[in-house]
Amino acid sequence: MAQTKEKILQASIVMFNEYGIANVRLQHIADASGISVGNLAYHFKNKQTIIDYVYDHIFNEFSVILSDYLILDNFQGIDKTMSSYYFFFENYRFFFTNMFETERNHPHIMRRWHQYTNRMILQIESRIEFDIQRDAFLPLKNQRIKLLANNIWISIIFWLPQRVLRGLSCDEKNFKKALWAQMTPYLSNKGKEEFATYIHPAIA
Amino acid sequence: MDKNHNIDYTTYSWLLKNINQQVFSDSTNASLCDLNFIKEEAWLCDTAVINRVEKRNGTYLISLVFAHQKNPLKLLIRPITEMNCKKKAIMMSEIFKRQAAKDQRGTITIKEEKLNISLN
Repeated sequence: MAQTKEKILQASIVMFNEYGIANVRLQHIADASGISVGNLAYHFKNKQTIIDYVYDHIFNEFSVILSDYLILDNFQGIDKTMSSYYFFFENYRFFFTNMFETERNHPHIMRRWHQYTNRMILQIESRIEFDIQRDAFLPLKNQRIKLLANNIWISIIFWLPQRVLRGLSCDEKNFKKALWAQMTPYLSNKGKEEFATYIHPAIA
Repeated sequence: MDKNHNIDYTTYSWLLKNINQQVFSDSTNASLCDLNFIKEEAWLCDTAVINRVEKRNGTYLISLVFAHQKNPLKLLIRPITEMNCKKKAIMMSEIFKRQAAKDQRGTITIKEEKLNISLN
């Protein structure tokens, strides 16, 4: 039973990514999972329960990324988190394509997103403060830290959609390049050395 | 976050700050008086350990008596635990004694005359 649910979950994510939440019917999900609609209805009584189940899964994964805060105290830690965010947003692209629809039709899901994204910004702010403390970043005023964190967050969230809008390919390396470009002007000499040793060879 | 573990943003940012601080430990040197306990408790190295089981409030209280080998007035009683069964309490007290005693095999004996007690 757990296997079938997992199959339905994976098929739903694929279908949502491809056609958008509104355009997917239970029949499509059943076909993609290789089960009958009757069997699908046995596991999920309607489309809303599937959507809730998919979002629960997404939020759990997002929690795992958030819980990885400061596992590594050098720039490799930031780089690792960037990779996690990239794969997360790449796997669940339908979040962007359905953003306004989700806000309108599923306000409870949007409320949860607000909470997660606000925590994400707080983590970015806190990470910058940490790197200032360890002299890897230049000393910045609080206002500047908030602004920088906000810009980094915007880049993380909207990097993929802007590539899609411009018809460009998406890859992890370019994603990381874009994010590091936001931070490199604020690196101290120690930070620049660390960046040149650990990060630059990987993203150049 | 989920309903069951939802914390407000102020608490969350405070939590993150604390995680940050954990990396920067304040390495202050210890002062000499921090080691006073070694000097103060040094006499315990030369003590005989006696196990004591007494009935108190319906249970058997196990305590260890640390008596100095040369100065009979210097002793320390440490209550360890309580047990409901007398036999078990005695057995456990023996085990505790053997753990705590310097002479774990129990071959050293204390003779009364060696204590040099004045009966005057």
